[in-house]
Amino acid sequence: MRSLFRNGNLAIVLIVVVALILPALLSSGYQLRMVSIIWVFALLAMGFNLLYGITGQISMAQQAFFAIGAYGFAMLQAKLGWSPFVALPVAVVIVACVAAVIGLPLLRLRTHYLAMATLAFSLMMVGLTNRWVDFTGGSAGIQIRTITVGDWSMSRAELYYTLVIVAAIGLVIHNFIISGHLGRAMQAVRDDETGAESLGVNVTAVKLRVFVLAAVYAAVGGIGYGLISRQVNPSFGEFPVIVSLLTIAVVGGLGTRFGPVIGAIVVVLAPQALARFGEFETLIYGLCLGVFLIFLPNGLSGVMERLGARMLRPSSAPGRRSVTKNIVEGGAR
Amino acid sequence: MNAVTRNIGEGAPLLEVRNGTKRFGGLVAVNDVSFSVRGGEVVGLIGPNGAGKSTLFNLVTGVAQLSAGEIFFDGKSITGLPLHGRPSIGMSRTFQIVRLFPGMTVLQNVLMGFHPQLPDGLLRTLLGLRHSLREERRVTEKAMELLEFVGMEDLADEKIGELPYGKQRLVEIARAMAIEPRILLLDEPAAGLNGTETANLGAMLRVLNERGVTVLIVEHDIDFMMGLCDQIVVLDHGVKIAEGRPSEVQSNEKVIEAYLGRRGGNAEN
Repeated sequence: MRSLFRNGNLAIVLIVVVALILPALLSSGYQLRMVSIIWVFALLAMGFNLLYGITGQISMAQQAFFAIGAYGFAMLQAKLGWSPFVALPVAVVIVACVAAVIGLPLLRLRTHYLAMATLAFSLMMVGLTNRWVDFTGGSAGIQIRTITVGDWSMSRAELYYTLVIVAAIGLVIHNFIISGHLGRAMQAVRDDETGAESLGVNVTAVKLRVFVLAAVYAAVGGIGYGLISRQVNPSFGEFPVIVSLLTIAVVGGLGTRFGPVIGAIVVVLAPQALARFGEFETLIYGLCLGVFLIFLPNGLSGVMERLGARMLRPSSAPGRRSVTKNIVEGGAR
Repeated sequence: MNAVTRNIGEGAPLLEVRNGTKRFGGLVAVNDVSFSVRGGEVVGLIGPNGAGKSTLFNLVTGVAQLSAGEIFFDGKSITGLPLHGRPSIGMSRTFQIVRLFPGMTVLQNVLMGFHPQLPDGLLRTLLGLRHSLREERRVTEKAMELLEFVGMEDLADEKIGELPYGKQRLVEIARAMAIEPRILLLDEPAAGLNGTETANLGAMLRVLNERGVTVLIVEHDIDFMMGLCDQIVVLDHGVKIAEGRPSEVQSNEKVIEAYLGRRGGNAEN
């Protein structure tokens, strides 16, 4: 069990501690909403990181699963009167099933063909949520009530703490996969499918499982976003979400353990910091993104790994495992 | 030398190709070829360029599908067995051009060879977490032993791209051995290696063979093959033209005409 606490798990503990203290330092409900959204996007990005960063399968359907999760959660409550505690797991299972069904034919495709096919699926979902007004509530969406048990109802702060815990569990699983044999098999699929297959990796099964897992991460994130927004509407599945997701991937660093969290923090908070530039906000945001793409292809995680490596082991070029350990130790100082 | 010290031709066939045929449209790349590899043997597959060696090798390893005929491993037909089902029955291979995973370290590449032995899927891994972690430690130790065997334990954390080609070939062989194969299928293992590296490779394969691994090799390097193999199968234009001990094959007229003669002539000129 000791190895569970090595390899960056100390960093997870630090992240959780900071995240749990954070609300005490915030002054407004708006700020609490912002930091809550960080964890939603972190969850979404973890799934995408496993799928694209590690396994190399690009999907443009993550925001669709994000939306389906939230819609399922809302509709099971609104239409069937289910308790949120039943609606939540059932919504996640529904998303997993949808992902498995569409993944089976789509994952035969590779690279940009896969991207286009998954994009087509998510455009269909956007159309469906907008136009099928009787069923989905159209562009107005559906309300999601605050979770209530007896006299107690979940406050915004409690929702935030719950999101932090869920995201932390998500991150532990995400990192556990990346650092063990499952992550190795996924990287093997990314690097060379025939090579992986000839070593006994069932490539189709690996791709499908990761696709479903990524959809589950997205669904959990979507439900969290629904609870924060107290509603779900077609914008959950629209383009800005996938753009944010891709930006998180670029800024945080693809295929790294902490990229999704670092990326989510930056992508949610940067527009707030850039707001003072007024009409130049988008321009500066775009420029920064360009700088990242050109000069920091491995994102902020990549930078931190290199800094950590330089600080602690100046002469050698350590492997990924030892580098991550270095960051953790560096961070603990 | 091996042929003298060990009993060749007594074991049951471990791998057997019966009437293997592969057509690409109108072209018959491999035409009704039958041969077998007995347990404990080192069998070489040779022939001039375009003889169909690689195609036959791909049929045996399962990368390509037979047009006709059948392949047996340990008495069971493996003709339709998917590629990913082969390591777990004890078949392991290397590729003509080294095929490692560039995004991983040397150690991680070797660890991939243990994949069939590790728990499959996230749920199974998490449910048996202690077992999974213990297995991971066990195979890591074994992988380090294999790296020691090929003399690369110091390079375990290096990225693949930073290694010279000869070292990459050794990583591939260590990875193939991680499968704990009953048969090792090598596709031109000496290609791209220099003289010393080739000699080392030959010595290494001999050690593995003495430890009980059966070997099937496709190779261009005739000297390498003559020193290493117990049996040699010669292909020309997709047809088997000779089979036997290296010395027999070497003096076979058909072989000399098809291959050795032409090659020898070039070397003298």
